[in-house]
Amino acid sequence: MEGVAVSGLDIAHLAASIYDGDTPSSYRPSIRRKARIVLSNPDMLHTGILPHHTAWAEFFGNLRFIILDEMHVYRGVFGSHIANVLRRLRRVAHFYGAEPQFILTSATIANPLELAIQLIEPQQGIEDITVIEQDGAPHGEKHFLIYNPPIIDPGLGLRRSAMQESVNLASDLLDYQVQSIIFGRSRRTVELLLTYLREKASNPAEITSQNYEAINEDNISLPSIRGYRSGYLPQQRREIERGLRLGNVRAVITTNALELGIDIGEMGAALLVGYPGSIAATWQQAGRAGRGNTSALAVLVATPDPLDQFLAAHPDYFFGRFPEQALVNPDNLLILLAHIRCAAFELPFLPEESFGNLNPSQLQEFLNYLVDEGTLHLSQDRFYWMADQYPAQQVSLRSASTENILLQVDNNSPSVIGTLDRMSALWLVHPNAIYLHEGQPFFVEALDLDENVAHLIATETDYYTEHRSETTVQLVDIFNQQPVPGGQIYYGEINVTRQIIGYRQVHWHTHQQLGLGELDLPITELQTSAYWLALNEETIEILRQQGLWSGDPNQYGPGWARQRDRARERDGYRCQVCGIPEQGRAHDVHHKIPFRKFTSAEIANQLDNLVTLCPSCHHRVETAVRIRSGLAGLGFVLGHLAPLFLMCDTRDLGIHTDPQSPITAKQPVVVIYDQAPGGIGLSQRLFEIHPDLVGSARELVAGCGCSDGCPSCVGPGGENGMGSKRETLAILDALVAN
Amino acid sequence: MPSLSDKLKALGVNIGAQNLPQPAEKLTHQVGATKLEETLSGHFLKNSQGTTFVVDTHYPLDYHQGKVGLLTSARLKMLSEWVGDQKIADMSPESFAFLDTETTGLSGGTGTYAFLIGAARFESDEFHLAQFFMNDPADEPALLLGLEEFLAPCQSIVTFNGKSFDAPLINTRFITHGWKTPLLDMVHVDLLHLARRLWRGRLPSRTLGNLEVQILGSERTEEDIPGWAIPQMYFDYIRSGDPEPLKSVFYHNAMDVVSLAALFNHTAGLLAEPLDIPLQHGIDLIALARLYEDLGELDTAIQLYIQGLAYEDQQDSQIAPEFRLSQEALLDAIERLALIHKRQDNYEAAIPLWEKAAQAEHLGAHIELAKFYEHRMRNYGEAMHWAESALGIVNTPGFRRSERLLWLENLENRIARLKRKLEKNNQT
Repeated sequence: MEGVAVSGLDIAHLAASIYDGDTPSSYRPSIRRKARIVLSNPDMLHTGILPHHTAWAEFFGNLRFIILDEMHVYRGVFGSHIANVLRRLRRVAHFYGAEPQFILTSATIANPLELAIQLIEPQQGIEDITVIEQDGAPHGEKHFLIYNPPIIDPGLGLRRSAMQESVNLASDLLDYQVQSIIFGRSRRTVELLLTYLREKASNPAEITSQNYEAINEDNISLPSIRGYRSGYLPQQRREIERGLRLGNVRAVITTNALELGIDIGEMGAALLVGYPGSIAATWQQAGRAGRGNTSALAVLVATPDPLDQFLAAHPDYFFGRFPEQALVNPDNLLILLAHIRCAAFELPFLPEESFGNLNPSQLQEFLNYLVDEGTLHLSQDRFYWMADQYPAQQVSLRSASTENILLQVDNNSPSVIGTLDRMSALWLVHPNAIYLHEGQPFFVEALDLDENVAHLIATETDYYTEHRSETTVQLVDIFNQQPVPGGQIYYGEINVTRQIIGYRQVHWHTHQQLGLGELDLPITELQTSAYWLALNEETIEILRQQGLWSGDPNQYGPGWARQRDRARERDGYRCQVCGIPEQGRAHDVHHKIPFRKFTSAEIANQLDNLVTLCPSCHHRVETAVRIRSGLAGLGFVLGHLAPLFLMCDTRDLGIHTDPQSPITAKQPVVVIYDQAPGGIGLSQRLFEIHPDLVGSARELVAGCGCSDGCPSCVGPGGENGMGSKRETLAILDALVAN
Repeated sequence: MPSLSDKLKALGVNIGAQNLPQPAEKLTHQVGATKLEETLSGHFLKNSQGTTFVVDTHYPLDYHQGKVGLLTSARLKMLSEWVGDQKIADMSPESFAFLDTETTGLSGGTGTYAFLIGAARFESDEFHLAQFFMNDPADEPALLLGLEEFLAPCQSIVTFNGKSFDAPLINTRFITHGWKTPLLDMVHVDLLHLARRLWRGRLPSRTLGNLEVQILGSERTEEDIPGWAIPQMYFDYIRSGDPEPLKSVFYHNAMDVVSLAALFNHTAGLLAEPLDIPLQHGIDLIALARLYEDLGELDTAIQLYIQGLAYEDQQDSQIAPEFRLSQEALLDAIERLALIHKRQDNYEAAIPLWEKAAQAEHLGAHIELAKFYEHRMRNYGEAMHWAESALGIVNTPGFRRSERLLWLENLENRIARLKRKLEKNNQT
């Protein structure tokens, strides 16, 4: 973020300075006085510059331009905060008599104009903004390949490891003397790739006659393969950057730390290990390859994630469809309230003043609330800040939550490695959880919710933990609804009540369950906006009919007839749901956990797993199981595809499915909600793009090579671990039918 | 339609009006104003910006805060050297304004108000303290104008920690009303920095309150309140209109300003006639010596060092432990004095000091002696003796590792060179 205060545009003679958290405090007064171009970041603007604007009085008085580079990163919770920081910035500039002009740059997204309007709120709306879309930079030929590792187990839909395939590709690039940058999605991935690639490059068995000379001539040694990510020392990073520019670093493996900004010259090839999470980021990473007019190569290696698989099958999304919408909600109540506090600290609110979109009477409601709270004092129509607080310090631009939990490591000397909002803390750092931070596992000793501290100790384990929770969803308000093929969609406000009731310990590699634990944690409530999809009776009927084709009763193994009779006898020959006794025909005996989940018929047929049901109840139970797993599969696929349209992370969305939901008159429902309290516009947009969302979901599931569901389409399994591909697809067919 | 408060509650915002103590009875503006005047013996001052509340207090010129008077007759030359502004040297007592603020918080920034500004100046036959009080935030412009007019005859402000706190805060207040701040044209004397230099060695706390007790010999009455409680007392007043509790805030502020003047007088005297102040401890003399050394007044510095070191030579029993220099500080003083002598080419005076410090295993002294015997006396045997003993110190286990390598290299070179010189001497 840059502010420019100039009297004429004689750039060569303008003093430009960086002013951020690393600027020594002895330089700051002189920068404030002399700099005409200031390069800073949103956090410094928020906590350092705006609350001390009088120290910048002259700068603000002459402020002409505000440049927001890469505005597409200002989305979601962060972007909603930034929009409010910009409201404050405009307010302070206005106080000094300046009405600066904004210049924004963006990666290619579907809605640049909309995002810009929401971020800077020009008075005339669209009229005040000019969009420039031409790209005048010279380009050489660029090859963009999407590599999907081959399937090795069609039944499970298992593909060769994206990591190993990437190491092979990177090794080939090294052999052909192509300087390469390799992007991993996490710091842990970076370290693993680095280890594997170095092993492979130093293994003589890998040296063929073809590359032997190249290796000797260029003296490819291990330091020519480097890792680069946050956590490395600054001088180490500078050295690697220099090595890349000079060409003696032949391959660098990095996170998105090298995606933007830093000058490393231009690479011959970019290798993306896994879809980086957004198409914009994909292009930015791929763009690291390309030297002026010579040709360059970018390869995206797909992982089994649904989004990777969808994009591997639909590469046109990268070329011209630009589905991604950067969304912000500057009027999220919590975020807005936080910034009205900050703004009131900066300058007293005057009568008839507005704040961004808020007209004076709406703003008045907030100000009166703050008067009641005791932080503002109203005198002669003005609202004065009257509290011994520095509000900007209490507002993190990256969280909408008001309470944060400190992650404290108690190993030798206690240190804080980060913070989590309270809601996430309950399921990420509950007692006995394994919490991963920068690839390092930590064991959670205690979660102190009174002091807002989680106590962690670094550990080495062969398992991770998965929380088990109970969630209920209540309707607060419906803002919009609309019939769609197969059902009805809604957009509104819900209250999500969740309690973490326990956790599973799962082995890292085999995914076997090693243990179970109970937890006694408080119930949390999240009020937020949501999009939900309710299936109608016709759709349920279709599923019912398809349910009739299920199962062959004669395949339950030897001794089934005897076991079935023992179950009927135990249950008194009565249906265990409706109580009706047998009349002329033996009741059915139902497997609680489906027979095919077991490897041994003997264990599957144990009495504990059997229950006697009348034919009509049996039919309902079977259908319910099918709908439940079909819904779970639908929730999984929709939740994993949504980020393609919303430029968010899967974790920014909550997913809830219920075959008999209280919010839709007992109809089966899939609910997708904003995880940020109050919502930041994600679910609202899902309501608007419902046809695209279910359309692409159907393409993904139908096109997946697995036989009965896999992590790349409908998820690893429904409630009881059974695949649900057929059921999910049946629902999707109904939803996209014309 | 749910209220904003309900909506926020649903989103988990729990802080709100319910925690706030409500005033028993809010005084009307007129009743409040009269009560304020009566309780604090002040008056409302009208000016072109509105009305501000002022409490005036007049002290006779011979008033003493503890055992120290307010009016200084000291020459201000050395003080002006310390401040770095020659204008101070020629200023009369009437030129100085003593300033202290009470604020709505310590964090600074534009949302922090100076609701009470105490300013004092010498007038023809009295010391006049004026406390400007912001009866309502809307009265701030009138308060600032009142302050500016009070400061108009003065050319300098004296504060305690004002450079980083009070002055930026007052400047901010002026700027938020679009005005130029009057402080920019005044020379700023911040006594905090001077107090740190003078009493760092022996006073664990150099707050104004502690200096009052330790240096001025003054005590506050029970009416005083701790600084951290002050913002809340103002917020309470704003809500309730009851001025009674404010009395202690005004008392606190008045004491701060009067002590500031006394401290100014005391330190100005110390700087002007450092050798003539009775009852000085060695530790204070050494601190003054260093100050004089830094200001380039070497003759006075030498005398102060000598007096200070002589004081330390007294029997242990005659010095209270808190006034005794630490071994490290003592050696540092000896080394500094010896170095001044050396620079003035007065080895006669420097040698005994180095020898004294060398006894206490002071590395610098050993090295200086080695240099002296090598380069001045060309007595390489004696030089070798000191170089080797220096090497011994560097090699003791407790020596700082970070410096050891540096010194090892330095000393090994020196010893090698001395060896060559000794051999050459033996050959001839």
